[in-house]
Amino acid sequence: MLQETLKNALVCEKICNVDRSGAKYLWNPYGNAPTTTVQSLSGGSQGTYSPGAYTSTDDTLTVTDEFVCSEHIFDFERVMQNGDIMASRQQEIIASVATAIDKFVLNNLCEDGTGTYTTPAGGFTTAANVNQICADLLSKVMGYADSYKGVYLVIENTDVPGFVLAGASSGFSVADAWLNNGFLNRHMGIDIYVVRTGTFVSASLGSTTVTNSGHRVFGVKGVTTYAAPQDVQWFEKDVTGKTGKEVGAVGYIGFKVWASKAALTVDITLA
Amino acid sequence: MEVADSLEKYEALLEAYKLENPAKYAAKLANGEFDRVRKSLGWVPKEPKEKK
Repeated sequence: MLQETLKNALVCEKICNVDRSGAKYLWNPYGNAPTTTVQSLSGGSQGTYSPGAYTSTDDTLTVTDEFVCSEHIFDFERVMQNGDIMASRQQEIIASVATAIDKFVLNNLCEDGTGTYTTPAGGFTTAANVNQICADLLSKVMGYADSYKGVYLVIENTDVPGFVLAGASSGFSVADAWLNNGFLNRHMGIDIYVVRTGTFVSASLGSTTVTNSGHRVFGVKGVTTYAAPQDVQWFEKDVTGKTGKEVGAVGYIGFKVWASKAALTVDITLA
Repeated sequence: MEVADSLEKYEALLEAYKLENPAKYAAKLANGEFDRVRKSLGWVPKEPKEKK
């Protein structure tokens, strides 16, 4: 129950690679791009070549942060609650941990991507901007082989009206689709994920500091990684001097935008 | 998590951010982002003094 509920709640799992192996470090060294020489078969240098020097650079993901949420449920509360309080609190705690992990990864994704884009004034809430922004964002990553993995855009729910109005007024069949179905989660080939307002923040998040108030994130799927060693684990324990149980969930997270593909994650500034 | 929801907290956060990510701090400073957020938190920029 714990893992399944957590997975459903995470946006990040759909756009990042996830490692649950239990490793604290992930090593992912990258090499430089080699250069191919094109030469005429009649120019005099045909059949000869100069070997190039290659370089490789270390790149490492380190698990840096712990997410923990715990409560004590006294026995009298469990007995006299008209309902299953243990199950209820378990769901609430899992939702809390899931939201915190999602927020942490999304903010680090936004912070560490090296692509940048500033929207026209009004941002996503101005319907007339939406198609322009989507087109501009696509141009940031198109042409790289990785772009065929699919692209995503994470917005907050306050941005949704602009998208819906843009969809409902874009062409005939597209407009019909949006008018019939509401928010479609996909626009101009971009998978759109909506998180609640207040997800992109200026805050200290565990080991990192982020300044993402007024930002959103766009990028290519599967080019960033977060590690969640052994996933989130549930615990229940007896505590001396208290009836009932202390319950909680704990998880460990590390995140990395790999250096060689950092440009495929775009930090959007809302103007 | 400590959200910077007041000017004082935001200034403290920026100090930490400057040390942690100097390149991005410089870029965001240059495009005026920090002042935009400060304004949303109630900051009023000082008017330049008029020359007599």
